Amino acid sequence: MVLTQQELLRLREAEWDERLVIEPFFPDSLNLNSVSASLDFHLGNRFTLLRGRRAAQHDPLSKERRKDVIVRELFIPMGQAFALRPGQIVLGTTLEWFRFPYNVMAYVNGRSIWGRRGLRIATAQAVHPRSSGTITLEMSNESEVGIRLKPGVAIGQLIFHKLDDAALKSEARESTFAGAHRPILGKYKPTKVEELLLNLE
Amino acid sequence: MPTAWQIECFRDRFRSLELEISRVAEKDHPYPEPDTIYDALKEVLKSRLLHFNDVVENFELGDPESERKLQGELDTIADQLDYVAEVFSYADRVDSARIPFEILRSLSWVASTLLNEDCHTVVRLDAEYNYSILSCRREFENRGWEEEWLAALQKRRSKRKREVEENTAEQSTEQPVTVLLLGFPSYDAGSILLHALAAHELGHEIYYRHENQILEALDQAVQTVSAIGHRYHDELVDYAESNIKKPSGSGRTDDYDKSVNQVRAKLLEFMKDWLMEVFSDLVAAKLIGPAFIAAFDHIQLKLHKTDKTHPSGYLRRQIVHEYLKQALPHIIQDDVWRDLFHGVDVVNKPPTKDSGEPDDPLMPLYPVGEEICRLCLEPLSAILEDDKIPSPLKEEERIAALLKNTEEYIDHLAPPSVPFDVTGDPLSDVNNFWLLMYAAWHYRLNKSHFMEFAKRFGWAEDLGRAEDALGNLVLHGLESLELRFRWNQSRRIENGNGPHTTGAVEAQRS
Repeated sequence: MVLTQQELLRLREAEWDERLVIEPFFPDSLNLNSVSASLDFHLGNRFTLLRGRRAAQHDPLSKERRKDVIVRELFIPMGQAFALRPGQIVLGTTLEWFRFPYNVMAYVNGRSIWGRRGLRIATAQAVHPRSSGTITLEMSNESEVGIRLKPGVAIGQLIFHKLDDAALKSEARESTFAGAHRPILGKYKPTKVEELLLNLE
Repeated sequence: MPTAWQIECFRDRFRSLELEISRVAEKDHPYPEPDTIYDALKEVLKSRLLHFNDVVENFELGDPESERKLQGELDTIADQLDYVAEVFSYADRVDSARIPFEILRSLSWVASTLLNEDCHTVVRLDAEYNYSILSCRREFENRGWEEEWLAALQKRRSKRKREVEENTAEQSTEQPVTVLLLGFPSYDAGSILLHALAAHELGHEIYYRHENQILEALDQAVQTVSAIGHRYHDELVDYAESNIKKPSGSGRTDDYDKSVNQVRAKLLEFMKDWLMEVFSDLVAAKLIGPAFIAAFDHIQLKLHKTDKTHPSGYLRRQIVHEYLKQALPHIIQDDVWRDLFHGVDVVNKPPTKDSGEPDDPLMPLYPVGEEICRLCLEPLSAILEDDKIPSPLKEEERIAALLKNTEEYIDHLAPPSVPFDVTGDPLSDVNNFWLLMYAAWHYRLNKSHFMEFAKRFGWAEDLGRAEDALGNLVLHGLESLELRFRWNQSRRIENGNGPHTTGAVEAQRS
């Protein structure tokens, strides 16, 4: 079930099991007079740039650090802008911190005003129940010209879904990114299945 | 007389400093404040170079008076060049990506409200394990460079005016402007909870508001301990006998009077710095309770260490403990803080004679200095009571409720700033900064609670990660509080009520 903005407001006041936390939260960013099934979020100040070494390639499975890309963190204050070059990918974050209850998840969607100009903000779009932290955005510019981005801009929206399974309540979930504040590349953690498949000869 | 080669060396020094400052100014810093410092230093170099050229041109060869004058001028210019290099070294390394720049706006906001000055903070990563503060305006003024500082500010304003069409906030006030350089230990660059020490460091700046009163209290205490009959009187006489040279030919009474005066002068040599530390501790205790001591323990591992700039960590916490017992009893009674004051007993603790460096000539006077600090507690508390800074920790019930609320949020890995009311009034909203820091340290030092938190999120084997997550929550909380404050202010303007003004602006109007 997709949640309306009215329902999101109710979840902010719910008991902890079902409470959705959004901080900072600006009530005026909601449009309660019309039926709206999404919540705008804003671009944060932290960016992580990925740069290749000579002959580098993305290889998250490799344990040899030097084969991977170099990351460079950047802080852009409010009021200043960051230019995303054509073909460039950077990691960004939401300005808001989201804490999801056990039975709510969301999908990250771009806003058409940006999408039409070639900006993609997420590839791994699902935010799972019990997630907590700022949401990392994988931003890329697919247009032929640069895109100027300012922290604080409403860059995307979340579409919230409610999961109808009481059994989830008792299930603890540990996330690699729990409590994260900066956009990080993250370490690859293969699943058991992957471990088997990747080691087959 | 200086040779042509020496003159050339002076010119080289001017050139290399100017080039290095310009090179560092090119680096990518998110905020413009470091540029103000670099511009001001370049202004200093420019004016000193003009003076230097003037001095060299007006020198008359063969005139001994002129030669002597030239040497004196060159020595002064050499000292000034050293000062430029020193101040530049403070303002270097302020652009590291490891610095949590998010906190700078909150710190600037807090400092501006407390100090009645338009403060902009910059964090510098320090090789030393230390947390320090330096007000650039004060530093430039102390060195006689006010004009250069003002010229750099003017340059920044003009630049900003060109960049921003409507710059009402900056045009509406004529407050003094400073850049506060916070030195932060490089090894803990990302540690947010250590910024609780900002309360102590801002206390240094508040000290200057009351310096005359504090020095009067110091003078009174020095007289008390050196009076005949006081338990330290004999020690001071012994010290005078063995450490201070008596002028020959003077009588016994003269001798004694001179010795007493010399010992007093020796005491004052370090007591001014000590009292500044003690007063800043009291300011911090008023703002954030014992939380700053928890942060201090991360910085200073040798609690017994005493030197001429800092009294021992033991003495400082004894005094803070005593102050909190009187000013904020409900805070000090909280068991969470007990470990920080373990073994502290102001009355019975013997002074520490062996706590200084072995070759420190002032060491025998440190126990007397400790006694003076204790004697000054009462007048310093009274001075602080009269200061307009309110303690955010005064209301017992409110604090208890707030702690309960913030704990719940941290337990659920949600920013603890959510339960805070933000009104748009700077004087009350700024307290949220301290309350949030207080709540975070309260949570951190509650051992069972913190362990549960770590276990819940899978960090029981790595408490460092749990502490990082707590720091992230606090950082996000501080940022959010400041943004919500700005939002409320802008809403007030939109609704025709005008912004809440800071104390500084109000004071100026009155």
